[in-house]
Amino acid sequence: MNVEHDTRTRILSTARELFHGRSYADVGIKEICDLAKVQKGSFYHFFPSKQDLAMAVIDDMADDWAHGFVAEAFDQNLPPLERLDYMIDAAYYWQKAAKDIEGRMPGCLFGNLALEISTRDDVLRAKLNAVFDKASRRFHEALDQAVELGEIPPLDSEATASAMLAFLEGIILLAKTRNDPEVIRDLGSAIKTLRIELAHPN
Amino acid sequence: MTETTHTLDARGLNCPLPILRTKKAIAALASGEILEVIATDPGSVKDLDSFCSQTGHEMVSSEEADDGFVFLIRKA
Repeated sequence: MNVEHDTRTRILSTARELFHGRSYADVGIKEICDLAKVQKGSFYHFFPSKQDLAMAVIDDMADDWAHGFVAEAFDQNLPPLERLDYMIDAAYYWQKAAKDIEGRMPGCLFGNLALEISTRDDVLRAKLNAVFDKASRRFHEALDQAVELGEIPPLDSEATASAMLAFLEGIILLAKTRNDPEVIRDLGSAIKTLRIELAHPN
Repeated sequence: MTETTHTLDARGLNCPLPILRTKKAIAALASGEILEVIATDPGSVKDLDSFCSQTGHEMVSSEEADDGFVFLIRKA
């Protein structure tokens, strides 16, 4: 049981690292098996296809995030808009730490995969879309609470939440392209200035 | 002089969690108070250094101990 669990975990963490550090298409099952020290037969026992593996990698990472820094940043005890600062800090320090180790900024795994896969694989695209939707709901909830507390005037909180997520993903992309995590810190605070008005304010 | 009354145990947490927890813990302190942070993530040494230089809090000391890294941070 434990051996099985370990093997699956090893495959997942190896794949996650390779997909994140390089790409999905560029990494083959053989390379993953070699690095994870797993036989190919054993790999296919856990993951019938590379797509199944990618689905599990996305779930694994999304789960880590949801219970890790996303939960920490979107802490209900924090004032709603301050949670956005925490999210920017999380992205900045995480990317910076990765660059300190690898020399390159890896970017956002979900953003990287979305850019690479969206034109090729509708199943994975839908999976990533669901991850982004879930992330967007955290922003949405914070915005609704900020409106309720009178911290900001009413706005289209759902659209603004999507705009904030797009902004966050965008600055991570720009920072990755420049290989400079400081871009996230320099531009990040503008996330709080984004707002999409209600179409028909009452 | 450097009396520590607040301790944050961030052992076992990986980046960026120690930083986020530190930021929260510091926010709850009064100016001049000192927070002790214990962490095991080696990246926390650089992270907390840059956190201090960016936020103006003072890194009073940063040491490697048996059970991890111990930082004393004075709130600006």
